[in-house]
Amino acid sequence: MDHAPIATPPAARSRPIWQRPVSRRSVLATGAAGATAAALAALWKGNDLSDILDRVRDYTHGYQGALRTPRVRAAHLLRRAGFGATSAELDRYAAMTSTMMTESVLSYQSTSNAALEAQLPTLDLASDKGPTPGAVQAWWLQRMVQTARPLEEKMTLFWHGLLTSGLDKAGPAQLYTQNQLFRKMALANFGDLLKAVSKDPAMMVYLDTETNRKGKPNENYARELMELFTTGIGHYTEDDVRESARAFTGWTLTGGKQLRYTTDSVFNPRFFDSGQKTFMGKSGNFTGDDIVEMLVPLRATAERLSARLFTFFAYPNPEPEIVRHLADTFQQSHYNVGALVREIFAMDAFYAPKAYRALIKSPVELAAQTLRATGSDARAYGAAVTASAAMGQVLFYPPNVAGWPAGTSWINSSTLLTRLNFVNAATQRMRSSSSGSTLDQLMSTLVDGSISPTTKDGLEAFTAAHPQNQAGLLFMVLATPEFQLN
Amino acid sequence: MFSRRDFIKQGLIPVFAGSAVPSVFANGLAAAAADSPNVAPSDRVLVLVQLAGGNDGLNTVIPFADGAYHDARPTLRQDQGVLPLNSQLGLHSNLKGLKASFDAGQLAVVQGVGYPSPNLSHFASMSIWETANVKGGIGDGWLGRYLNYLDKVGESPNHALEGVSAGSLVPPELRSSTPVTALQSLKTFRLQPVNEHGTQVDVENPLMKFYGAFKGATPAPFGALLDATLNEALQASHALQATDATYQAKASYPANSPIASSLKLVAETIVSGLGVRVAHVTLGGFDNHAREKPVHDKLLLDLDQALSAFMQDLQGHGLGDRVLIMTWSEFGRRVKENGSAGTDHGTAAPMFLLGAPVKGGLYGEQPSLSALDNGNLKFTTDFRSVYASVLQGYLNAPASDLLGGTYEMLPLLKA
Repeated sequence: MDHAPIATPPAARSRPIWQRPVSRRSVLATGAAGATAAALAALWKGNDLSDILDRVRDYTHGYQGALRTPRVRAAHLLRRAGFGATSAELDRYAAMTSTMMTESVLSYQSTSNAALEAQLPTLDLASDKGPTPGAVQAWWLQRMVQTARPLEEKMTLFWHGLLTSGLDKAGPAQLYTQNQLFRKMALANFGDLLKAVSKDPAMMVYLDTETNRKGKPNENYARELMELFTTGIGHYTEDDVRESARAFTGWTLTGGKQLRYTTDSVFNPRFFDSGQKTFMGKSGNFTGDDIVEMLVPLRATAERLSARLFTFFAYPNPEPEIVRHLADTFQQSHYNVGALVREIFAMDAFYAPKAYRALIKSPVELAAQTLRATGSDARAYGAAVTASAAMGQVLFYPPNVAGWPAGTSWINSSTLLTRLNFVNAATQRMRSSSSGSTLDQLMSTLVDGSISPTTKDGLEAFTAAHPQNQAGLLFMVLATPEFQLN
Repeated sequence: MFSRRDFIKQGLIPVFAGSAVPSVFANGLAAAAADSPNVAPSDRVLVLVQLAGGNDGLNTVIPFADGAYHDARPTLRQDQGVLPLNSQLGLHSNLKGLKASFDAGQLAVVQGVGYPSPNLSHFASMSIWETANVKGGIGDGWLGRYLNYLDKVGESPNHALEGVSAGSLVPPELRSSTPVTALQSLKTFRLQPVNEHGTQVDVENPLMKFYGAFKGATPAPFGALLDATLNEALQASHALQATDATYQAKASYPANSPIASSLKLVAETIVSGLGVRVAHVTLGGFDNHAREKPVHDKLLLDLDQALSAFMQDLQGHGLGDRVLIMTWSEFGRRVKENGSAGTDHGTAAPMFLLGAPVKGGLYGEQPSLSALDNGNLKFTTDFRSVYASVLQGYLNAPASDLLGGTYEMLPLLKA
């Protein structure tokens, strides 16, 4: 496929939104007005004076300036690009410029993960049925907690949520194989990744390409490739679905094992529909790879992937200017995902007040960051996998092919209680030898030292009342609303 | 004027300081036990059963006498043991409990349910059914709007258990500004205290302060959500712990069946008199593009057994008259099976309404299997007609307001 040169947008007349600073005055004005209103509301309801004063103090407390502090910028990046940071990591990153931080996070290929690999349990990949679902789930969660290459695991999680396959149809060894594919191609060319995924055994079982044969087309993969993986709805017709399904014929699973335990696929020309297909106005003897090559350059694909990645890393509902800018970057880079991710971390919008604590930790993010804070033994990962399920996220088992709805759907009364009870149980399991941090250290590492005055008072009161209860104090920090956010 | 919920939402009063239980929880069981023949709308419960993934309607309510069905389904056709509803149509052989309900006049089968310009995307079509908005599927859930309405007219039990779903997520059809609760177990639905050398340190009050304080900061994305949710969670957990009802199932629910466990949890919540008005359970796995038969047969068996146990349980507790069950799925399947012994996405499909409040029978018109639209059935009944009939005829709510339009009323329910 040849690629038409992409027009660069005309020089912006005003600064693009992601480069506009927020006026400190406007922020303070808003805060003060809010405080006055709150105080009046409280007076109206007859609360006593100390309550009113607390309320004024909390309303005038603001997080706007938090991301101006190098250590908080580092913490923000390492939460988004990974699963949180230790105090030492924060110190190291806080000494870097933003560009250096981004490069350090992105250049993980040069960081050895030998320590992690040595810790991981051996998965039984040789036997007919392969490892159990629980073993593969715990294996991945352990990777998230102990990896030296956090962005690699974070991108693997991103792809798992976009290019979904699940244990309801595919087997654990297949999902392990797919997971390793996502890890290997985490920042690769998007077209290459989609071509590989089209032939990936877990995907072939999950979306039925393994049964898609010449003369017996199965629409499942073709439809979701367009609706969910590339352009989104509204950019293709039902005829495009039917025709492209024919192009994805020919690939089949191989090896003597039962279908859901097979981890190899092969092209069999006898199953391939080599007839003429008409797809999005073009006709030819298209293969699945041809379909991918027609979908990836489409502007709708670039904008959809850009918006999705920005939402995953920065904040939901990005402004159209941001999506356009990222889609340009993606297309100019020849559909390179690494270039897109680098640009997201490089944008001022990534460190804008609007981005701060603008994401709700997903259950596995909460689990991984909690275990990084409490320390973990081999049994902790399985327990955390089970707890994540009750919080609404089972690894390798998305609710459907659209992945997890994420965002506010993570929070309801049941999942919030489960989150709090999970961090409680995790701190109870902590060995006393791993304790010993002061409240200031815990707040600095886990909630950026940026926490509402009332909460700080409450934590200090807890420390005073329960001076020996280190696990209880860590729980109180992990249970704050600030820690529920990323 | 501030409603109780306003106070809770604004975090201005420590709702549970005295651990006083709102009276609405206190006598639920007594009220429930009085099996009144004329159940007030305010005591009625609607239970939605979502068949997620697109249920194959033609292999659920089977047009066994139609040659076109047998032609379209060379490997998938059901010709053994179909349970006839009349000379043309019958239930799948695994739906024996539903057949018994049909014979007892407690099952309404609405045929050919769909909507204009059907969308074949799971998610677009689900949103359409969830919001009752066929133009884009945006807005609150249609039952969320009903809960809002209850709140507005002061008929609401006014706590987070009036809408419940079994599982870890709140389904979109219950979403609105009115809180609803996802339940996984009544026993574990509580905030664990902090342990200190074997004694317990209560952390509810400090955490409520933390969440209230964060909500007030600027900016605090999700601050209001987190604060309101914690308050709802604690309120609901106090209500659950305060109920003196000891639920004993009066039916044997099948083991290893997630849909049975979900319905049992809903039964427990209803029997415990917690003020549930709308409940939601999901049975997933219907998206069978390949090798459909064994999977679909099992799903229908699980559904039938779970529904039968649920009905029996409620009747055993004298609550049968108070509960209406309704099934829905985002679409049916393509009429002609595909080459993988499965079916691709389709359009219209039947809905079931089940329970003592139902006027049993067949409703609507079975779509033609030969006059198709791109291989798909043309719908004959708009799903919003069914919603309107349930809202108006059973829940006594203003259907046109809640659905944003007027739809034909079907006489599906007893007066």
